[in-house]
Amino acid sequence: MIIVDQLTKKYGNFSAVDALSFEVPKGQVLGLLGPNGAGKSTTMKMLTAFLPPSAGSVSIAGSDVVAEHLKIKKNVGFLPEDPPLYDDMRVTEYLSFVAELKKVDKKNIRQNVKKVIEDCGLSDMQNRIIATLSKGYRQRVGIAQALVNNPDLVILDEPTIGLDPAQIIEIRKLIQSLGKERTVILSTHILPEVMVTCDRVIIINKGKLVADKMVSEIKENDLEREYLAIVAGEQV
Amino acid sequence: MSLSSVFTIWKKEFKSYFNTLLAYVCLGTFLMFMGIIFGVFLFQYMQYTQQQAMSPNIQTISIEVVIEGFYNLMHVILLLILPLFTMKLFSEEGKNKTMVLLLTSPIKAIDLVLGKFLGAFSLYSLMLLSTLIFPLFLSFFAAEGTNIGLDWSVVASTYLGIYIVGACYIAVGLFWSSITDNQFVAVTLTLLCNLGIYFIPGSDGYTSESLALLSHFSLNEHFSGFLKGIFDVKALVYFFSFFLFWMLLSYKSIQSRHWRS
Repeated sequence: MIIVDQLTKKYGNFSAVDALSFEVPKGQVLGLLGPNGAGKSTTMKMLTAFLPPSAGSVSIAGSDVVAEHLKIKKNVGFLPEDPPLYDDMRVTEYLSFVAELKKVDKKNIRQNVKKVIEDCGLSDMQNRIIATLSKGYRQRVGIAQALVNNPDLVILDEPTIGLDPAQIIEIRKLIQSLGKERTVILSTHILPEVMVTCDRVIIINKGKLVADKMVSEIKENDLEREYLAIVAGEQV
Repeated sequence: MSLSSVFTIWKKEFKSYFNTLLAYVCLGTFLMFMGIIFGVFLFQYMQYTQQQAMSPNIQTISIEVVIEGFYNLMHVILLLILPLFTMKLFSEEGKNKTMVLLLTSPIKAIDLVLGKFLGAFSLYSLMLLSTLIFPLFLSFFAAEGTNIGLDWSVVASTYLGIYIVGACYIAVGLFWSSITDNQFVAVTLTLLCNLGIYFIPGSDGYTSESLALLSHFSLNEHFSGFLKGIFDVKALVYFFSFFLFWMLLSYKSIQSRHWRS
């Protein structure tokens, strides 16, 4: 599904992402772990064709991210760190707008919007103006927005941030259910979240890939130990 | 270019003006000012014609002169008010982090720029349409048997001119909005730019001949013909290149966003 090959992003002399390579098969839920500034968000922005890579390539379902970016953007859902919401719009209005932007067929828009509203638990809020929503609901609208075009690949940058424990459990369930039919990449700081929601985990530090494991192969404490070893190693 | 994308952006921009008070405040203020100016101009004109009727040696002034003055003032007010329409177009997307959404959607920079332009341009069209009440009022007034006759071909050419000039100011504002995430900076730069363009003198404002070349860039020089009902291809070429230049700048600026963030 996704082939990342020697992906590099440089800002001047600084490499935010340094020769990163990995592959993600269809239907996998992949967790990206790493300390702040490790290059997780930059990697995600390159996967969504928002940033062009300095070197290397990304191919999604056989299409190159740079050369065929319009085709890719149509089939990818992306939740950035800050959910891209228009405060003056109503929830339904906003989601229909995003569906139109993503070139969802006119006849499917209503149906798609209705589905994501149900899936993300927004039924009670669908006519509210986005500015009046709490942080948790804003985050949910952000996730709904990433799903409204029914994408094959969903990329979520810290999807559970700002949610209360009950909401976190709901969203994790949602992400798990997404993994049944789609490929999901998510980034997070929360180690247990990876254990619960992901099939596989990649740890990135200083733009480099430092660990790549299937979640089923790690015991809960191992991940924490490994992660802390990497972060500590950086400080020495 | 994809028309459906342009239309999506256009619709969203136009609707969003009415989600806040901005459109209502701008439309209201503009119409109020124009109404006051219209009243004052008309009153003075009537006083003058009365004086003239009593002492025939005073020169007659035709209503066209008054109308020309009125639309010249409208032009000034437009160049001050249109930056308020355009300031948010791209700045707000940057500030609210919604630019990411637009740039990760299957939509080209050209569609984005055109859609944004049309959003502001539609609001402007609405505003201009509402000012038609003034010439309509005058023509109704003329039917009462006074000596005020309104030449509709001049009115038409005046409106064509104002419409085009407004489109140009919107294109200027669109560009300045695309380079900053701060609406205040966008509106200030647009105002300065508009005023700069406005104050380039026409051909009679120069002492030396080489400086007079500047008059080719003068907006007023090209605009004044429209007010007199003169249809000039040179003016059309001027405004078209003016418009294209600023639209192209916006396009380049949005295209380069991919390489900046």
